[in-house]
Amino acid sequence: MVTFEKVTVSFGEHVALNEVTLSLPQGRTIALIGPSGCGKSTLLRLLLFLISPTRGRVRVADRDVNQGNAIEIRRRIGYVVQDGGLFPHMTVRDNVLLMARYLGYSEETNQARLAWLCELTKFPEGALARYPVQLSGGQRQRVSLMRALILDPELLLLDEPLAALDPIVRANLQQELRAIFQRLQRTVVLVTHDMAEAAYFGDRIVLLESGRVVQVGTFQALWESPAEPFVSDFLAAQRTLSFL
Amino acid sequence: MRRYPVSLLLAGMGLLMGAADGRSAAREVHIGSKKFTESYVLGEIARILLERQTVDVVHHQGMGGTIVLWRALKNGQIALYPEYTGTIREQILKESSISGIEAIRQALVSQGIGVSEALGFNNTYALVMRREHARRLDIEAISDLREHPELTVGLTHEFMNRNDGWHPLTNRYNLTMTDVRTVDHALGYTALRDGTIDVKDAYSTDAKIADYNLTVLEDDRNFFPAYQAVFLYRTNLASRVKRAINGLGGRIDSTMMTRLNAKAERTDDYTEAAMAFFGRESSHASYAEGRLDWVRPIPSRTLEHLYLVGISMAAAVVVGIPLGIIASYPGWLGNGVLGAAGVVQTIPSLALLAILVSIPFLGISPLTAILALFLYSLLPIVRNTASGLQSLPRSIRESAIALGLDWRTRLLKVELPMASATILAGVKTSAVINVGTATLAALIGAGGLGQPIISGLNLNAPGTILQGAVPAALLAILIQGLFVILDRLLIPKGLQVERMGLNSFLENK
Ligand SMILES: Nc1ncnc2c1ncn2[C@@H]1O[C@H](COP(=O)(O)OP(=O)(O)OP(=O)(O)O)[C@@H](O)[C@H]1O
Ligand SMILES: [Mg+2]
Repeated sequence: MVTFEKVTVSFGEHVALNEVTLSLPQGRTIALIGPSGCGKSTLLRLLLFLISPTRGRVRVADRDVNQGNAIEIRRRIGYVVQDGGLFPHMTVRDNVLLMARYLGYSEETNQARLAWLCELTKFPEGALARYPVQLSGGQRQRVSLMRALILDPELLLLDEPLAALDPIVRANLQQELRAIFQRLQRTVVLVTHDMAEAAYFGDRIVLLESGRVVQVGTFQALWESPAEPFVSDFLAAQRTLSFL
Repeated sequence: MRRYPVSLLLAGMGLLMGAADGRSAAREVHIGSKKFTESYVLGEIARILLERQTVDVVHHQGMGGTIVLWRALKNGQIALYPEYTGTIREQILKESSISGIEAIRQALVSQGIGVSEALGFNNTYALVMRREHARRLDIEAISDLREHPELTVGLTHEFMNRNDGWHPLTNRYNLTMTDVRTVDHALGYTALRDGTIDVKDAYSTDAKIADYNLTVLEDDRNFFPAYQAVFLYRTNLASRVKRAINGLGGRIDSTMMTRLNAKAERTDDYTEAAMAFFGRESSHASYAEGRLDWVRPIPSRTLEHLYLVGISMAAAVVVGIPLGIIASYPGWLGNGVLGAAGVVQTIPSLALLAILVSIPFLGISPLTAILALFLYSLLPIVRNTASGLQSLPRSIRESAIALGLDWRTRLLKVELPMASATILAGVKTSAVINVGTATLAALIGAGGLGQPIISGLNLNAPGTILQGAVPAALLAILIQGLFVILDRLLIPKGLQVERMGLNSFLENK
């Protein structure tokens, strides 16, 4: 359902993605991992037409993503941006329901959907009238997720949703998120820095390095048959870090 | 006229002015005056004179310089104003050969403008000395100076360099003084009084001549051109009005005018000075009445001021925010908008007024003042709107796009509300600048709190200046206060972090 065909993205001299070819299996959770600046967020931005490829094709639901269909495609994708991106001037309720109201859904449907999302993400309904500054970091991520899910998207993109949280909250949310993904049965692309997290979520792991795909596979495949030395180096470095 | 650089500037720009709108109220007679003491006093004399004959009159005090007044007269914005024959010859007719009031009258009648009888005094350049010093040296006329090359002469820079100034004068009279210095006009009077200098150039009706007991040397070789005071009026005026104005002919001589000018400068009050002409010497009652005349207008002047500020600000907000939105996009259009607004801001406010006055259909009117204020208020609004929008966090901007909102909804629901604090700060800056700059509106007859400031500057009367400056300053402070309230009302609650700090967080938990 999602494919990149020889996609290159350059910002002036700097090549952020170099001839990336990749297709993502439907209904699975894919973990995008790689060092900082390797192009993970850029891949997600391409799917939303926040940037356009310098060369190559990006396809979502068997259509080339372009100016003409961007708005329609965006509404079929849920996106949790790297640091949440909640609108600070709107309450939680207004943030989450913004698109549903904009599209003219009945308030009854909306409130039912909202109640369901609160239950799904374990967000306290009593806090719906608060503004984002009045929420904890974990709560904010739950709201971002609710907002991304309000239109029941076929594809859910999460850009390091747990990176800013402290380890205990993070461990809790990891479990909850995985449960949520299992309930939703949607295609999920989750960006992370952390190999343990990638292994925990990812039915499939995509490892990037300086704008190119190094290896695609399960954690086991990466561990047992690394495509190149970088893969084992990356795994080793990650392990060392987690001991510290 | 000659001694007022501001009016000179406006007059110069006024040369370009096309036909302004010819509105003239049906019944009221509008009197104009130039922006210096003598003209104000003459205007007041005409006003009081006509009022006593139960004519409805309005006196637009200190509208500007020669060309501004002349244009206003020609297109009917005013019906009469005081002028000088020399000025008419040099600046209006531009025919140095024309001499005498009769010739001027002939030249103007075809334009529908009449020239009154000469009022009786000649406000030209003159040389002055301390009265008692001149008597001791037996000097009465300029030619008597020939016998006294030892005298120290202090001249204004302008007189030193004029075609009808010092050098041609010394040629005509064969003067041989060697100690000739340039001194500022006002300082020169002090220097003359204190004996630092002995001879100085002056205007023959300067108030200081009476105040410092000076004497005007007779121009016995008729060197200085005549600047006979007259009223110019529209020939379609009611004949009883024309009769009344012509009745002033010959009734104001130099001594009288000098005394009236001195009185105006001493009492800070043109009406008071004009009353003195009608023989009501400053009895206590009329003095108080005259003072009150300046005190009373403060509320109405403040309203006038608020009117100028209000309209120009409303327009600046309505135009400035959309321009700021355009300016927030990268590319030549955005940069162009910011650049243009920036350029307008760098034009000195006086020059901007002068340029606008010279545009056809604007001329001297509140509309021109409002337009100038509007242009001045644009930049802070445009710049803050643009920078407020540009500084939104990327994650917010991208979230709004990624949700699938169209650009209009993004702008209205997300970007503008989030930039609202910055935009409001820009509007506030504009409003404060606007209140201050609006005092200049008085220069082009648009009224407001600048009126007493300009009169006061002209009279060197701090009290009168304060009557405009204090309310203007208070208004600026009031506006600051108003924006504290506007901030609370208009900035979305979620952005007013300090208002909902930790306390409300704990309460809700
Ligand atoms: N708009 C842009 N202009 C110029 N360079 C950019 C732009 N966006 C991204 N880049 C560069 O492209 C490269 C890839 O950026 P990207 O945001 O995809 O990295 P990332 O893998 O998400 O990194 P991180 O883990 O730190 O978020 C980086 O080197 C980045 O500096
Ligand atoms: Mg990133």
